[in-house]
Amino acid sequence: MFIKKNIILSIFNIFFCSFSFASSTDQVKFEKKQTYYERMPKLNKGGVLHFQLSNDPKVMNPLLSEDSESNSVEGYLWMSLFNLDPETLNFIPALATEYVISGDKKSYTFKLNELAKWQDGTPVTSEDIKFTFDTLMNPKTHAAALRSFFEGVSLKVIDNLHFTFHVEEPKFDTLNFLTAFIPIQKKQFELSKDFNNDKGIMNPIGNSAYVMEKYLRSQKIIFKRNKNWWAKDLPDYKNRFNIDEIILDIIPDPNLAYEKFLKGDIDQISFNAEQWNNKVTGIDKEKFGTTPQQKKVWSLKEKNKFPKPYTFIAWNLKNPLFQNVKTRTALSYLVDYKKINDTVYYNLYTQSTSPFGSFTDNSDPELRKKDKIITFDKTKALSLLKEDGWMNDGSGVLFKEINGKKVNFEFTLDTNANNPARLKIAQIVKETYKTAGIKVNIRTTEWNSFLDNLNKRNFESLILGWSGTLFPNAKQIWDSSSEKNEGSNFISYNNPKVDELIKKSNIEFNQSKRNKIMQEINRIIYQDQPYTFLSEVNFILEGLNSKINSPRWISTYESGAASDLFYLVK
Amino acid sequence: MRKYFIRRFLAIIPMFFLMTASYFCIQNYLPGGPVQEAIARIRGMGGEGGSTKSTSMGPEDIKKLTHELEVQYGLDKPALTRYFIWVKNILSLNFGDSLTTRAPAIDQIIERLPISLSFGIPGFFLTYLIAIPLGVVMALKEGSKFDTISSFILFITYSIPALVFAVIFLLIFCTDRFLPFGALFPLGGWRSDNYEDLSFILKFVDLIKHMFLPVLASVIGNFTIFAMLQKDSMLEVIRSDYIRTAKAKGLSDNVIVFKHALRNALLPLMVGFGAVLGTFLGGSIIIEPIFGLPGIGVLSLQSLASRDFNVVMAIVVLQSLAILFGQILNDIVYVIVDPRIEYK
Repeated sequence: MFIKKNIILSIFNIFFCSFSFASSTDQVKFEKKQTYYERMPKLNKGGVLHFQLSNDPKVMNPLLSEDSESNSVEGYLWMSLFNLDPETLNFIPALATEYVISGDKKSYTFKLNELAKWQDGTPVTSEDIKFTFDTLMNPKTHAAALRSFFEGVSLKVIDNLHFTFHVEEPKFDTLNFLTAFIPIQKKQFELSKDFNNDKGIMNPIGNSAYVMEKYLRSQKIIFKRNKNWWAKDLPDYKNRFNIDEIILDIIPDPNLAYEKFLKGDIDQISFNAEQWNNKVTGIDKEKFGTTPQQKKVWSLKEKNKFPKPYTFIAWNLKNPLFQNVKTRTALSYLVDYKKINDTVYYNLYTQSTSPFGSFTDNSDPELRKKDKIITFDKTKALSLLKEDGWMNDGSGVLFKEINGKKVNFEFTLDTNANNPARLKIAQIVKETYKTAGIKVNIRTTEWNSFLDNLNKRNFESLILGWSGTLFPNAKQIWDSSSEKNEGSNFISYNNPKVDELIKKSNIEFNQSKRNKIMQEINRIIYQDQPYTFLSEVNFILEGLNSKINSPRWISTYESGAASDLFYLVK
Repeated sequence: MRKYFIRRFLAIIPMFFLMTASYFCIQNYLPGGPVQEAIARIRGMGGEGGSTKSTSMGPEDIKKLTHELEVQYGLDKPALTRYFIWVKNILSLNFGDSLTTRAPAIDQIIERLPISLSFGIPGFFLTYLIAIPLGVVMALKEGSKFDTISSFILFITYSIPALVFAVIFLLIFCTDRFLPFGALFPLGGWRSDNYEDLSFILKFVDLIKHMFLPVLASVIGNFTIFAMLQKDSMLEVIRSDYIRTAKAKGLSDNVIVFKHALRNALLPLMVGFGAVLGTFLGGSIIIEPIFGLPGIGVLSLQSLASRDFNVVMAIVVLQSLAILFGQILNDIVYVIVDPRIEYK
């Protein structure tokens, strides 16, 4: 039976390989490029490290997870089909070793690594892929967000190792989300009556470097290195995941986490700007080294190309006050960006000029030049306001006639409570606007009420932030269609040229051509000023215990320290 | 008296439904909820974190996702229907699952209850153990140096919130910032990492090490007012006619204080005795987060913030019952302390 199976497999392999080589020249095959991990020196294995987790993960199942804590846990337990090299963004084989994309970019055939195994020793097969895909696409599965990526995708299993995704309409990021597909084990869930509430969703059977040993809710999660891990000798993995035991301590309070880090109870921490300025380089300066060799703990400050979160003021364009671009531009000229950066972000942020990460290839390079961007300029602002018809009668508040009625320039600026940085920004904005004759009323509401106001468009202007992402799609926030159904275009931005460019960018597969389109979108949005782009995180700020070493701390496209490379200094 | 207590017990039923129905209505009309929160998280809204999985959600996706999440969280039905379903479920002790962690709501409470109780119970007894004798001695030595110094200290501890004490204790005794010989206590948490491997005695020591400061901070927050109350009550009693008569009869001071005065002077303090049940079961929303204790207090805060309806309602049930039974307990304690009291 074993021989028969192998013969069938060999026949398929011959067919598959000849198909790959003989088909049209448009067909794209995965080409393995050398990665940093292959060149790494051999590292020690062993030891225990404690990391902080802000909250309990909601699930330990990659199909159901949507919160960052669940995603953090996922990273230890499961592998996707391919990983992205954080230095180059090239694909690195993970569960799969090959892919072939058809000439029309509608078929994506993958080959699984024959070595790939679940932690119970059973092989990872196409059946697992099929089961995961079918479970994901079942509308009863609570995976709506992930499922939305796979709308219009179907899956065909070829054999135990090969399978093909067919997509109706290929887009620029189709390969990215297909390679990021994380299968779960069919055996664990095939008899499950209700997948969403199955006990297995908190009892993971993974295929990655770690195995979950114990979970004490709201206290800690313990992971042990899987010493029989199938990928442990593969070139891209043999020197990674060196720590024997990883304990995620659940500490919601950032101040307590900071003190625990200083004491050595947790070994790595990410700082915010305030902690960095007031503590790390302030009152606790003596406690920190700048290299691992100097002190018990040390601090790391590094720039890289990972798109960072950015903060902005959003103008509700349905409000007559903000409908004219001249007024919006004037409002942007009236923001003291330098003061915000100095006093709120301690010079650790830069002025943001793009929704796609101001320093990435998706953003217009011209907007990185100081003379091309909007900076604090009251004279320019007043002249633009005048051009748009705002008048000053000496009362201290500007006015204008809108639809036959005298309207004072007064509005409410919303922000979410428990965010002192945003409140400080609101106060700075209020002060400078007042000097120009614009009255701002600040309103802070707790997060859920804030979201409610935003979704119901019950606001005039607000301060908020968006996360950064490596492959941004402008459709979510900037397409006019995204205004409907509580969509992300909550300011009702509508520019047909931008809509057209978004369509174009989403079907452009050539990365550099796509970058050019995205840059144009960035340019138009910046001219229109529907948001006043405020600040963008500039540095990755990390605290590390000196007992850890690593051949590389942060790579080009990573959002934090490369903890998979950590090992203990003996 | 029996009839009175039977009536009190029966009154619990309508009171319980009134309390839970009110809360169910209130939380139903709170703006925002788990659906909006989940969508915002998926969209990358907030901008404090790193990257997000999805940034391509169009309006149709949002509409579909909203509906799916409403079904997922059981929010697709009208509030009244949901309340009746909830009542039906809790009658079979099914409190539903947490909307955020998917674990049964009651399991989360059961997991966290020992943590809240392990500093709530010692805190309660210590509060009474310190407040009663201190108040009595202050009353007996009214105007003395001891009374002046004690009153001054009580004034300070009353003026400073428990929150501040907790933070100060944490910084002084749990870090090596101030003490030359380093930290005396662990920096928050409930147990050490190696707790499971410890012997029974070492487990007890470990628990005390973790609970000492939280208990101290909660006691300081409570005992001042109790001590002052006890002092005033004692003063009132020892100035009364029957104590003067007892003194005139030549009874010893100890007999007068402990046999005649104290029992009556304790009555005002007993007013809040039953309510303490609620405090035990509700945890502390001040002390727990500071010391990283994942108790009921922290759970209440987190669940309210994330509109985790099932967990909030499970806590409301627990607290409602604790308050209602606590009132009956109060009546019983009154009778024990003063047998002259008779309920009709």
